[in-house]
Amino acid sequence: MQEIHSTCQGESHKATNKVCQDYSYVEITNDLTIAVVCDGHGGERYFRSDIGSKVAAEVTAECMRLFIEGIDKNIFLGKPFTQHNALSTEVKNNDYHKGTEVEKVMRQLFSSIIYNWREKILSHAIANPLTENEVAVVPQKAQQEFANNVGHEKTYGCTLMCYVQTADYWLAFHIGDGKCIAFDEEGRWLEPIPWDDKCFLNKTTSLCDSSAIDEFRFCYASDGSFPLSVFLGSDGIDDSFGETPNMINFYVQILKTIAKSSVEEAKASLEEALPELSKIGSKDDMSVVCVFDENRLSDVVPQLIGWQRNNIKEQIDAINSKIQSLYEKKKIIEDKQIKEKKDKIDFDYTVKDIDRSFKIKESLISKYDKFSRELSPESFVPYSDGICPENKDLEESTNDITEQQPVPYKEEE
Amino acid sequence: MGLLDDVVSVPRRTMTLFFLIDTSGSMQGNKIGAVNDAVVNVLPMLDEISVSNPDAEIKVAALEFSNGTRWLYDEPKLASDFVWQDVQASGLTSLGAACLELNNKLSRSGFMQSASGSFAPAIILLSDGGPTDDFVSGLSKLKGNNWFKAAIKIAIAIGDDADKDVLTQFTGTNEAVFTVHNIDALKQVIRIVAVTSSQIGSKSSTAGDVSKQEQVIKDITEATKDIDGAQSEAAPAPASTDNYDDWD
Repeated sequence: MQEIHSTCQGESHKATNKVCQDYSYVEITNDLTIAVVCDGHGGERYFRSDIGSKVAAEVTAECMRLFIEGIDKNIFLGKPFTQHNALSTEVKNNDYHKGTEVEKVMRQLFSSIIYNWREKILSHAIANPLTENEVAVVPQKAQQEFANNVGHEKTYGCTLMCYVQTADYWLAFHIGDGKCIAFDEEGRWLEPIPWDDKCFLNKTTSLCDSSAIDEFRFCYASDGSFPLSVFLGSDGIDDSFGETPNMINFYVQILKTIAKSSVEEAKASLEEALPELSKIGSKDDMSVVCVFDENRLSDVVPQLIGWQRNNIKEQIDAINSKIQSLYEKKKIIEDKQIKEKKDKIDFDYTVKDIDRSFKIKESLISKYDKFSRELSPESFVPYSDGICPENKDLEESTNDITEQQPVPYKEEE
Repeated sequence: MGLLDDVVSVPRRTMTLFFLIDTSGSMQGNKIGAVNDAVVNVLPMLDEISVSNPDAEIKVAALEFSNGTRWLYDEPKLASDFVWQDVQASGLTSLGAACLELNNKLSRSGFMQSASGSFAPAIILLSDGGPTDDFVSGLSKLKGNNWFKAAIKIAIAIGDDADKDVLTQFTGTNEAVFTVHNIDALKQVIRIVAVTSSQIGSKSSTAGDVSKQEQVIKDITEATKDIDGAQSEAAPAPASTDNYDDWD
């Protein structure tokens, strides 16, 4: 396995002179890979969350090493890919599963991470009284609590996401927001760790929660299949892309750069891209860890490009459907003749939306063609489906959209 | 090849501003006229905020409720595109139905995009009376909605007959209920509430630990304290100002 990772200060943190509160960590030794991303909370109450996230990553790596050394690996033996929701979610959904041996040891692992993290942040707090700067900016109540050794968890609060791979099994766990994405040997992606609905907009579960142990969700597998690549990204990343496929597309670009250029170039590109992404996207701190199997990566590049092209194709299909319904709407308004102000407004909106839709489609086609060329430069044929603004008979042709689609990309045998 | 080249999409995030407007019979005349006038005039301001804001674009949705409910458009529109259709007043006050309708649209299958690509919405409720339907059930359902929980919620009570308890239940705090007693105050408060909610709601972060809702309340309270005929729980009108209803 190899890795690239990068963390950068968010654009909004630069503007307010806040330190970067994300932390990313990777170690790869022989058969063991440990990757961690932690994201310190941003509010004033969490004024040492940058330290909390670093400590959390270090403690997690330490606990994982001990876990792997000490555990009887046979408890994972032959286990298929299995996902577990946070215990708090299972209880809420009345879907509680009695713990198997694996679940029990995972719970012990989480308990050990939380305990060690709390011990370390307590030691840090005792050894490092409030600084002059903290006294100036931290709310009085929080300062008082700090002085009384109360609420250090909040002071250092952060999320935690971890991926671990040994020769025999792999596992991943998460508390808080951000996203973990895995690619399999055929280049297909999935979110291996179940999502927690408690993480919504700017709310997240956290290592600092009193019920943190019940908020870890996780997955594992020991059936001989390992992800080709795993990405851990803090919420600054997924908040920048909105829809998950946009983020996957970014990750695929990283994998392609690794496969087609080099690990060094991909790392340099990632370091260059993250501050720019923060600027045009979420403005938040950004962390990405990518671990990958360098021996298998080149083989799946066509599938990855194929996914990118299909992703665009789905968007073209959606925009074609929208265009079709807009033309239908326009025709209905025209047929009944525009009499009222509302009809005129609706008509103008429809015309404007048709124009916008075609502009979006034009941009999508350009992307589609780029991927088609990348996949097969010799047999490249530009995208065409006959649905274009110049076509006077568009209303009729939109009825035949499905018949005019080009043959979608199919993975080669 | 840069990682953020032309095949990668980084869409702008979205903040949706909802107007919930009571168009019951009691709003007839100057009140509804002032609402129509104020919203038309505030839309270009919202567009300016949206255009100059690198964090998010602002979309607008409007729901009127009287005997039933009606969305002005079947999707939120960009502030620059929103053409206001004057609403007319007649009938009852189906605020409970409006809550249910809002609950339907505060979802991925309704008006909202993915949480990752959005900011919490801002919801402005305007009413001059009390609900005539099952408000409690409607609000109860709405209160379970995650988007609603996270939203900035402000109510404008139009005159003394507005049921402020109901508006307080909707916003979650009486400090988010602003009362107006005349046409001029109504127009000014609509403008201030819409602009402030949009400015704060569409930003990546607020100052310190203050929530966006708290920040909006604080700023609106400050901005409305000198308006004749406007008052709030946090800033009751001084004795020298007009705080009696005058809708002529």
